[in-house]
Amino acid sequence: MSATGEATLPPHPRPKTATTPLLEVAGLHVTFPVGGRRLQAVRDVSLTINEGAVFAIVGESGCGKSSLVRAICGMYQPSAGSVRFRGIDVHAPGEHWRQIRRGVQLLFQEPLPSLNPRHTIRRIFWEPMQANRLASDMREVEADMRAQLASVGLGAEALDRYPRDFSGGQLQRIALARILLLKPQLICADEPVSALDVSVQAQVVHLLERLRVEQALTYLIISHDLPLVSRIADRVAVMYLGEVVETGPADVVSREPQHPYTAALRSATPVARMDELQRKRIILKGEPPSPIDPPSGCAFHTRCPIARARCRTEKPALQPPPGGGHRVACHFPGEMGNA
Amino acid sequence: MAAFVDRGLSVLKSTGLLSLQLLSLLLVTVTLLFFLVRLTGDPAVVLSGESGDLDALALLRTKYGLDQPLYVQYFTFLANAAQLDFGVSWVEGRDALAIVWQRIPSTLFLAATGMAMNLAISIPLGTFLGTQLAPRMRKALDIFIFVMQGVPGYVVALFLIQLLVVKYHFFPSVGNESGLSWVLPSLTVASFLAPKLARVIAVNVAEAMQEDYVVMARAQGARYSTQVIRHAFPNAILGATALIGTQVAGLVNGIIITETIFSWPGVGRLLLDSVLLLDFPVVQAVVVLTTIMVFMVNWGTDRLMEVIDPRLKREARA
Amino acid sequence: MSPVSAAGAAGEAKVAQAARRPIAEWPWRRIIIVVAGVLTAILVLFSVFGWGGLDELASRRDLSRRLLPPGTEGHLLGTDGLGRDTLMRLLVGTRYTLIIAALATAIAGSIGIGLGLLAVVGPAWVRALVGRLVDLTIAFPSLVLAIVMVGILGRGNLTLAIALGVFYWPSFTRVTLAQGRGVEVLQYVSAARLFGVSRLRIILFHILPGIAPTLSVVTAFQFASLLISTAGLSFLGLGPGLGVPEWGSMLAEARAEMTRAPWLLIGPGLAIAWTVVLANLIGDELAAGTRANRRSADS
Repeated sequence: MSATGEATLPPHPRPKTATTPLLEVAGLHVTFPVGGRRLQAVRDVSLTINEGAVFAIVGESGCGKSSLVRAICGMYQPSAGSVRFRGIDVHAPGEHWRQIRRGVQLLFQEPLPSLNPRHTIRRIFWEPMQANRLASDMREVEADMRAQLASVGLGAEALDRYPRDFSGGQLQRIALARILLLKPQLICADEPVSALDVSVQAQVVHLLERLRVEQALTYLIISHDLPLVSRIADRVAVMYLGEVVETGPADVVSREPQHPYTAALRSATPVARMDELQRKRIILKGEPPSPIDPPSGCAFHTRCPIARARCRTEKPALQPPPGGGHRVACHFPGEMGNA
Repeated sequence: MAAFVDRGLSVLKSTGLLSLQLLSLLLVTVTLLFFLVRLTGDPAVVLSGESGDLDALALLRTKYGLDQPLYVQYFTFLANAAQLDFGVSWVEGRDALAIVWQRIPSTLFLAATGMAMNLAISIPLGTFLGTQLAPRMRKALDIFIFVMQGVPGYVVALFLIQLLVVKYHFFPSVGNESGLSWVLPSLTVASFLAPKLARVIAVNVAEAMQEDYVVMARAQGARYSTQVIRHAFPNAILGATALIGTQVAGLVNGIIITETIFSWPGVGRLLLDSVLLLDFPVVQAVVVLTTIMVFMVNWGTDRLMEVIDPRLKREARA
Repeated sequence: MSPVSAAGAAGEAKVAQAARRPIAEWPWRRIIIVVAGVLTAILVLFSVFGWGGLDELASRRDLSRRLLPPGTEGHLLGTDGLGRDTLMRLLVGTRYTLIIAALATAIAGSIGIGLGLLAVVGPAWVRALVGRLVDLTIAFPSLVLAIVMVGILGRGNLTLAIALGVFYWPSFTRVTLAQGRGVEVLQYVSAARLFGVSRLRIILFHILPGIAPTLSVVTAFQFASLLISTAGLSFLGLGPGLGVPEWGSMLAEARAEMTRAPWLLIGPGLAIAWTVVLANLIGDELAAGTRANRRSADS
């Protein structure tokens, strides 16, 4: 496997036939109390992820993408809306959800802090399996552990080592193997490669793709890197200040962004090819506004280069533009997409 | 004007909070005491002593309300405690509160002289230990102080008495009649505290000597004594204020033992005597008064420390 | 916690921690502390099990050999007013002083760590309640109440240990709370929770091991200060009972004979100082180890 520093993937077949919705998020709100006020981390987000798909959520840090994913995994309780996994409400209490809970797993951004430094890899693997009652004795699953380690490209000797004995890329594989041992259907990955060296990013991306095919997985990937996402995901949703501002097929959104924010995200990433350098860089002014007190109208108008009077008062709906295409929440879609 | 009102309000609020804390503390203490005493069995039996016949017992029960249901006794007790009425000493037959009140000045005197002695020993000693002077002597003193930290004050006191009273007759050993009798008890109180304080001051001085402003003074040719006394010392003592505050709050523990060793006529000695004689009214009065005193001293020390070192206030808020 | 494990546990932790390095690389300080700790532990064992006819030797009276100075007639530390050997009595006294202090430490530790863990994993109101309780307990004049408790409930090993233990727990709680909150927000704890690992298992396997090094430091220092208080209360006459060779009681007996046999002070005085200094040294050394570990983990 080459580690050229660029996460380019060879063309690969994808099972486009499967279209059963695996995960349905409808009108989801996540709020946190902050000193008597409410921080609206996620505002009215709806999305559908089909089985076998790679769905990406893109946005700056603080846009609510992590809160959204944590709510999907059941870590946070939504203040409104629902998350249905295989038709079952994730947040409704009850034994039924507990049984399928392990179907959704979260892969943390940084592997090292998510692994207890005092436990061997064997123990780290065993703990979730035991908690989910997959076996009553560690010896029963020894073969599974070895097989799963092999599937992420590590040898069985890793089982008796501690997290500190591994590199960042290896740790991310171990974290992945721990999740895979639970036989999940959906893996939510929070910036799975951004904490890694550029040289190992490509390896992990390849691995994720291979595992998806081999073990029939569905991915929900969070990233701030639109170009990277466009190479690995089928569909993408761009989030700004807790809301989805543009969503559609990953390659289309990346190639022809309709929302000025998406266009800015695309141009913010360093480019590797000369022809992309021709493209004008769009630099956003200032910091994103506070999610405690979001701006009126279009939430993006305070930083938008093409904002007009209408944007300050009227909130654009997430819908296909008049000329057709994927859904976007902008009054003037496509005006600066390919500037 | 508005600022003045605001300030007044906040003072009022903090005073209210303070008395609420003290009240809840006292309530718990008094309740604890009440049930502790009842745990021992029938206080009337204790009261009547060896000679108690049945009639005398019954008389005592009626006199002290011991024939009432427990909750009635409890609330009567609370109501009396609220008026600082703890009854009459079973031993001396005088008002318990008055007996305790009488002892407070000599305890406060011992606390003050003990603390003063503590500071008088720790500050110069600690400062010296924090400097670069006389390395061998510092090393020896350092070990000595570490060991002293492990030697309880009462052991120190006994050795002092043996040496200075029994052998050389420097000091009177007991009571507080003569002019110098306060020296040994104060030294004993200080010996509970000084090793730790000296060590903390030493560390602070040593650290301050590395600070930029001292290095600066050194570079400008200040004498070593000036560097230590004018520059390093003030900050080192600031760093030790929190510990000094804790020590003031914990003084009462060392004082009880010290008073007993030296037959010092203070509250601690009184407490021990009345506990051993099961003189409950006096015990209760001592406990309630010491709780109030310790609380007030803590509060006063905290405020004083905040004035001396404003950083503490910020820490407390954070 | 038995006194054996009190002295031994600290030693064990020390050994386990130091085992990662060859003994040749240990600083001399650590070697001395380990040796002293092991020696003390052996003495404690002898005392607790009464090996070598210790009890018989300690209680043997000989009025013709009263108040002998140290070193005479085979009595290394002399004899007391009833002609009993001071050294043997001190060794038997280990059983009382060390056990009571260790028991009090165990009581304080269980209350303190238990409440601290409750506050770490519990909801905000539990945390607030525990905080109030800590403030309240600290505001008590602890020794005053301990004296009252022992005086009223009657003397005895257990009473003394309880009376001291119930007022000395707040520092355990503070450390557990501060450190435990630090561990609790770590991602591996969130991960475990997300996997559905039970609360008890998270406490036992993730939070407690994370704070154990710091807790061992607190335990050593608390044991030292509880030993001073234990001997102090017995010195005041609130010890396990008359005639029992508890070190504080022995000091009180020695005080009565001070004009005639001042050397009687030396034995119990040294015994208390030795144990407290040793516990403090172990605490210092454990703290240094914890700091070093943290540094190597950070880098």
